Amino acid sequence: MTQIQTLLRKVRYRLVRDRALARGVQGATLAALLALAFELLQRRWPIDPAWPGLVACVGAGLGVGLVGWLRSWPSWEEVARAADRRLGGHERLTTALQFATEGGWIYARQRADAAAFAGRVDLTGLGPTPVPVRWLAVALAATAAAVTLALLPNPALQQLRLQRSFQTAQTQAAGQVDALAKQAAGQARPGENPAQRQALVRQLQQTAQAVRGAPDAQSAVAALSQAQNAIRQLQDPGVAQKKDAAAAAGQQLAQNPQSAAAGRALAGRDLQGGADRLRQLANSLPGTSQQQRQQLAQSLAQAAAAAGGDPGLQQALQQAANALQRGDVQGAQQALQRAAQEVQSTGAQDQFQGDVNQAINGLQQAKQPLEQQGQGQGQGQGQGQGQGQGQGQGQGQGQGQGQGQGQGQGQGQGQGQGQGQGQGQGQGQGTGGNGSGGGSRVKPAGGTEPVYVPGQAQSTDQGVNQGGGPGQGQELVPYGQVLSQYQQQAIQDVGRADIPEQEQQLVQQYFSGLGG
Amino acid sequence: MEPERFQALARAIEEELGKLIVGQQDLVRSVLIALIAGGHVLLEGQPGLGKTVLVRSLARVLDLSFSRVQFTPDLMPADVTGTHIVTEDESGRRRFEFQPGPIFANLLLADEINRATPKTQSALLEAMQERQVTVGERTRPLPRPFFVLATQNPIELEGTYPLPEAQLDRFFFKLLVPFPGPTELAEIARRTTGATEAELQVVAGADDLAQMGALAREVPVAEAVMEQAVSLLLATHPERPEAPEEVRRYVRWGASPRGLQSLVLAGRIRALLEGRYNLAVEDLRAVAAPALRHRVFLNFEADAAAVDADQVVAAILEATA
Repeated sequence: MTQIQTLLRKVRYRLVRDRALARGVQGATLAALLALAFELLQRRWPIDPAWPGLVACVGAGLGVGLVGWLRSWPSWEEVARAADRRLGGHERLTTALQFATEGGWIYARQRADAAAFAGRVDLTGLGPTPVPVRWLAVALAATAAAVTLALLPNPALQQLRLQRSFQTAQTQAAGQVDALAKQAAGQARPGENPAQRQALVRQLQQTAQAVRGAPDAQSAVAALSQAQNAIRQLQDPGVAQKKDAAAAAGQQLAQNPQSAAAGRALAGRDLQGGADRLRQLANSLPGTSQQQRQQLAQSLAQAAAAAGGDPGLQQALQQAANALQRGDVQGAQQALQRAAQEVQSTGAQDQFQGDVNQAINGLQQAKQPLEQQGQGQGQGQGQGQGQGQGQGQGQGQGQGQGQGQGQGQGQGQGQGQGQGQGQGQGQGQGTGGNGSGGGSRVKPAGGTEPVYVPGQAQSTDQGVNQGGGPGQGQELVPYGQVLSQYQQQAIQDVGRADIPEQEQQLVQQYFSGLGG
Repeated sequence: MEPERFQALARAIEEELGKLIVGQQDLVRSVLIALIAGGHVLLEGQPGLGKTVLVRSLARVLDLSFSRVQFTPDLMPADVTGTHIVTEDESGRRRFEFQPGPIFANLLLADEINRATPKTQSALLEAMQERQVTVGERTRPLPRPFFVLATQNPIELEGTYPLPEAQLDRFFFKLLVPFPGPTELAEIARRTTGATEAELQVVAGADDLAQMGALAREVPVAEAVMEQAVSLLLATHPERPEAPEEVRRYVRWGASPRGLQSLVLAGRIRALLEGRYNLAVEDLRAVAAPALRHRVFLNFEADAAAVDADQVVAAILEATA
């Protein structure tokens, strides 16, 4: 039996090897088919990242092949039958194996005959290892198809990534707006209008909620833009004028030794310090001489004349001057106290305006990642909607170059000023193909107060954005003076026949929202 | 008996028969297998192909008693089995005495068996299966060994009585006697028209045949080979899932378990003749046609399509390869 066992071991090794190849190829084929199916499903129901799924497919296919190989592990009886069949043993080995322990001379003769056969047989009779060509061909074809699909762009996957990116940007923007609301709530100062502070905080809180609940980037950007517009309503252009008036009055007061301290503070736009010095001046009036009072009355009158930009301050200073001229020290004290209150109120309003501007800037920063989302969505939809919209995208991208204000349909709206300084900001709305943007730039106006002036980008017929507007490269002017001009020009520009009426209406609505 | 003795005797018988029988090695080998197995043989072939010579030569070589019965439509069963006749002894008393028929021989040649009536054909049934005959009230054993070698002519079917299925099933083999080729024909003419005639020698006896049969039954059969034999047999049944399309279409009834017995026993003998000590699938396939062709009963569609049993068996072998 030794020779028989030796032969059977060799044949079993060969069988195991052949089956390993066959099952391996079959497993690889299954893996390739699974990967192909996965790639096809990715087109409908994308998964990101995809590599774990592909690894699972390959693992499953190879696992099935491995299990199949292990399950096909040949028994000795099977090996004997295979050896008989492939080596021409005429069932000698099968019979000898089955009756290996059987007594009787005929069985002994049979085993001896089988052993003799095992000793003389040539293992080359087993033939070459069979290669499963068909399976191999299927595996290669499936692999090629799967790789091709993996390399081709997957719109569904891109959409999923956009969605996820939007969600991240949405959460981040909502958090930023929340932080702005808390910051605004904690900055309340005496002398300012509490209703305005509450309106600012409430607007920021509502905006945070709106951003969280926005279904897409365009909606979130729109909510932020609306919030910016609403918060701009809290801006008071007269505050700067009042500050200028206080500074001018301070310059007059600085020429009088008694009011020099208050005058320097006001001239230096230190409104709180100026208010304090005015109160000190009011308190020091009873100890002054008649001549000093007359000189102070004259300085107060000159200061009142210079403070024409702030009627309240002008009136208080004039009343103080008149009272001193009449010798009414008490009346002069009361008038100076009112002047101090006016100055203090102007300072508080000025700081509130800073808070408002800070909120607007904060909202603008929160919009930037969302605008990128909107631009991406607009491009994707534009590509699928035709050539006309494609041109619109071109415009949008052109604007976007200024500040990422891509707008489908060629109706993107940019910020002339913003582009001029590289700070123009806009909103992309890919679905509607329209967009709105609010550029920002700090313009010195009576000091360091920022004034936000909206601009409008100009577009060519070919959809190439010029990145400029009426305000670009020009001296900046107050918001209210240019809004109607911008609106008129924008409506005129979009009034062409090749721009859909719906998009024209969106532009009109935008300017209406600005209060133009 | 040793296997070497088995092979030597078989070789000697075949060589001795070869002195008189030209060619037909496969036929001689098959007949020898059937005789070793103790089975009966149905020989089918045209007249003049040496069937009778073969049987007579076998009887001579094996030193067996031989009888020949020419079956005709008027042949009566008693003509085969024997009958009681009235005899008178020396004292003048008359009594019935059994006169044995030609069936009381070791080797019975039933020539053109399909020309006898079914009644006479059936008289052979008991003898073939039980190896005894019953005449009147008495059952008489037939000499051992007892072999029936029946012949039938496949071309002259008019006025014949086809053997019933039950009787066909009792034949171990059905062998087709092929027409000899040119070389064999020339040799036949040379041998039979010359002045000298070959003298056959006895090379084995009835005891040798019995011992050879006993040895063959000891040949081991592996389970896988037995399963293959069973599959072969089941494949002849049209209702079985193993049956190939030809069987489903042309076969009315499949082979009986006797077919399986014939397959395995004939295969064992063939294995020994081939110098092996185990039954191989190749042995089964080699004896499948003679063991199954008369046990596969074809339907009318097979007749219409000119499909014979050998084609069906070939399809089975191809399907179970």
